[in-house]
Amino acid sequence: MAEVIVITGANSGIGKEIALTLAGPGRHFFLLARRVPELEKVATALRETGAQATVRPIDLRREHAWPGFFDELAAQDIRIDQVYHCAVRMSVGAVHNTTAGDWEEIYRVNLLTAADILATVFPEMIARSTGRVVLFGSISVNSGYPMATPYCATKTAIHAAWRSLLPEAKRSGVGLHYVSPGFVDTPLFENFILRGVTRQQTRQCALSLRVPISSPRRVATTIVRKIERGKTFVVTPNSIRLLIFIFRHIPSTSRRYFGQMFRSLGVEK
Amino acid sequence: MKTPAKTKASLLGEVILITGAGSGIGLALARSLRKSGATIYPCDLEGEDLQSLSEGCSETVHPTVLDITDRLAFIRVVDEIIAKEGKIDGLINAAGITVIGKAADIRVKHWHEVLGVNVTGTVNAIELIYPTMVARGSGKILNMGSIIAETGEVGAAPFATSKGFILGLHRSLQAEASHHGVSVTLALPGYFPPDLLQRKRIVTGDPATVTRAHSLCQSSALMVADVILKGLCRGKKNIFYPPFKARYYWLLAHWFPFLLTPLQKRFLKGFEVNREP
Repeated sequence: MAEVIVITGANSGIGKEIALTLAGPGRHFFLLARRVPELEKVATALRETGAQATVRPIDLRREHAWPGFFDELAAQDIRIDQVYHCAVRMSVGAVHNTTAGDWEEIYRVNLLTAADILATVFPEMIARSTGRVVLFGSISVNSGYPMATPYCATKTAIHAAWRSLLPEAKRSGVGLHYVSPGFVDTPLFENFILRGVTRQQTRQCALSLRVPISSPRRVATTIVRKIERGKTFVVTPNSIRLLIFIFRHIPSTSRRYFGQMFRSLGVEK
Repeated sequence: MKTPAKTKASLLGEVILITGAGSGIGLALARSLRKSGATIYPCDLEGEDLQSLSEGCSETVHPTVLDITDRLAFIRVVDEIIAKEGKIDGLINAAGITVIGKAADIRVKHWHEVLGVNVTGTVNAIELIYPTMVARGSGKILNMGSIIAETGEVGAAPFATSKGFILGLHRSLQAEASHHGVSVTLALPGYFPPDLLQRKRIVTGDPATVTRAHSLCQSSALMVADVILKGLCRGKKNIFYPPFKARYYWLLAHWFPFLLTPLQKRFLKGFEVNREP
């Protein structure tokens, strides 16, 4: 029986590259995302490698679709072997400019979907003593991320969930991985919800922070390699490791970064 | 409980909204603030304790029945307070619930319940009240975090997740709010008040053992409230309780997270031994 791999946000960025990295015969991919044409392209590329691919259009921003999707697979007696929760939503703007709709969207895509995965697939994997769940965090987990508060909050929550569930996962032989990518050149940057700032300002802000920006393909390859080696805490690229260490242990450095961020986003003191 | 003199002076004439004031730390905070000179709006779902808060000081204490996950109801309450008082100076986000159990026993509905109150409730409060504070250029927000946001906790994953959210929210908001004259404080209690650990909230394991295992200390909500209020008035950014032990675990999780592994293994064992048939 084919190994079943579910990837959310598989139409672009890290999700797409992870699918392409894992592609091969004997694997059945379920690709979840909002935009069907891009999703179909990924599916075609996967099929060319000999893998099976099923496209599932889901708008995680609005529908509460995950438990339904899981039940549907269970009814067909399909057991999920690996889940990659790559779908992500982010807003840039001050909290007082962020609308209730933005909070809701980001909360649903980033956190609620992760919670649904942990509440449905994860217990079933524990019962079978096999499987893999991969959650994506962010470097902002270590320092906070002003002007992107909802994003930072949801990612910090995912980190806490990972830490709480890891001992149980380890005991039963299930892989529960937390991935902290640095700045990756993905369409996430094009799809920001902008509140009170312009796209030009956001781009300038990203450049002014002088953080290395890596390609999604390279990041995906590293992530898959490290996960297959059994690492539960994956940081990539390596230069980010240093940044995380500094942010975590010397909080005042992050404040300097934030100052720079505020200046380039035109927030006055 | 008596309110310290310094606390009194800084709270005179302030309008404070407290969520989750029907029980636990929220109730204790509301009780301490009752005669502090501040006008308080304790909010919670219907409860006797909530209504009893206004006994003897109905002028300044206005218990309000509110489901914080209901955004429309929250908007109505905030509009009413602003129409009546003209402002909200303080927001205390004390509402919180938990579910304790092994990952295999915690269902989707549990996750949604906990995240609904702890995350959506807090977001509603901040999203509705923080902009009014920014507009006035002053205000105080107290968020109720927990050290398990950083340390993680076996058997309390949904709660830890929701508190992780509060931690991320707090860190980001704090950097922003200081630009607008709003101070944001995070309380980090290292223990579960008994109200949080009611029997129905424990899905696996024997409640007595679980309660013992999940508390850094046995103390009353009043003591926690006292420490929090003192810290708040001194303008502290993070308030730990118990002050030393909680901070110690926090730093441990920060610097050497692997040292917490034996502790978590012990928690896990506790669940397995006491698993109910």
